[in-house]
Amino acid sequence: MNSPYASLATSARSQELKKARGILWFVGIITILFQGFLFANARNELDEAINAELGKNGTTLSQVQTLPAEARAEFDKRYTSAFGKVRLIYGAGIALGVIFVLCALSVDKKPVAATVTGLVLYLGSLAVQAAIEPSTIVQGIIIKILIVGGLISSVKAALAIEKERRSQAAG
Amino acid sequence: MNGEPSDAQSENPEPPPAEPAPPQPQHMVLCRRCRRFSPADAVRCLFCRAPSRDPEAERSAARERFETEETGKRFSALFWIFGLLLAVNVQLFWYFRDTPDVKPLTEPMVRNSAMALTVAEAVDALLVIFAFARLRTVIEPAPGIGRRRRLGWLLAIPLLALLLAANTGYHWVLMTIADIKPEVDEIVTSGHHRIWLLALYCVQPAIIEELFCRRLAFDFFSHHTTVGTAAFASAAMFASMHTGALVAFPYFVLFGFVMAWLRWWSGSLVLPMILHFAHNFLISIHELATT
Repeated sequence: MNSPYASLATSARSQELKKARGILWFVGIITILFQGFLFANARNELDEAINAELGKNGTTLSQVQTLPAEARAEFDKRYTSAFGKVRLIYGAGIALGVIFVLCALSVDKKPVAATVTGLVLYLGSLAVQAAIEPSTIVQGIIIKILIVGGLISSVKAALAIEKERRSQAAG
Repeated sequence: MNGEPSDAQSENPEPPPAEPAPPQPQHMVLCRRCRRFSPADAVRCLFCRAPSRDPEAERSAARERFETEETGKRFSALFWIFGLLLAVNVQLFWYFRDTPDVKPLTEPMVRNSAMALTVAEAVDALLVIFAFARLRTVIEPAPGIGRRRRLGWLLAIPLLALLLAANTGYHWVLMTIADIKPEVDEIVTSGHHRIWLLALYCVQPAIIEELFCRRLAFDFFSHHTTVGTAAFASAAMFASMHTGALVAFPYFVLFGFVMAWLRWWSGSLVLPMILHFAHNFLISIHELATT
């Protein structure tokens, strides 16, 4: 691997990995901040949704909360369960962001594992968002395409780099 | 003759010892312009600054470029199939989101749900079989696979037990942290079309997911990286395919990782398929038994 072509190719692949690291940092931090905000705001969001539902019957959440404890036992139980689910979903979102950051940190050490995990997780999270709210498919579609395209080329570069490392290690 | 050694010598003179050949430059290339040698790794001739041309390096670069392009094409093919499988999952999710939330589920509702699942799984199966038919000759199992066949089969049952325990423990921790009660699968526990549903939950994933994740994805990655990394990458793909349960991503990664190692040890897809089937079957049976 001491020809000028090889060194040029290696340099180009290293650039691809740098790009992957940048993308994964960007996606990870944005995900953590966004999901962190939603996690912190979970109670308000749930209250608004419940108020909207109760409003159809002409009542409000504050009216329900003034009822005696025995009368609203079933309501409290469902409220606690719904709150737990909302927090679980947003907590998983934060964990997803942390995984992206971990992938960014391990791009140099384990390029294939980091870039493939980042790519498939990003696609998986897009699929989940689309499943819950179809209108999210077109939101920021250009950025999404750029991120996916960048990660795909990074995976290809990572595959070549790891293969090169393996052949060098084998002598 | 013996008396004329000098004549014989003069008629057949011994060839003078050959001069040692000039040292052939091993890592040097001949400049086309100035006909002088420069190091092979120099981009230009050291004497006349002409761009250097090393035929071997060019051949090697061309070969490498071809291999890189082929690898890229194969990964792109795998990636497209993966994307289409995700799209089918999303479509199925939309179908279930739009169905009325009635409890307990009636027989026609369960039949419609099972039909939707069947269609989605049939599309998944067609996609994966198409990918397998196109890629099986270019993505072959990596050398070294199947060298610990006995170990793979011996570890299968203990590993399945550990996976089931990890699944239970992981979900218990999640439910405890979030302070929620586990929800049962309304379709399976409805009591209608049990055999059909069990087949959908256990048979198709065991065959199709293993074919895609362990035969195509794992074998593809194992040609380019270490077995552990290949197992992890294919497991990440496997976990992301389960759109409906992204919260359980870590558990699916663990499951996919173990299945990939069993594939590597046993050298066969049969063992991961059997274990995948047994895993899904035991979870479904447990869910039925507890309700």
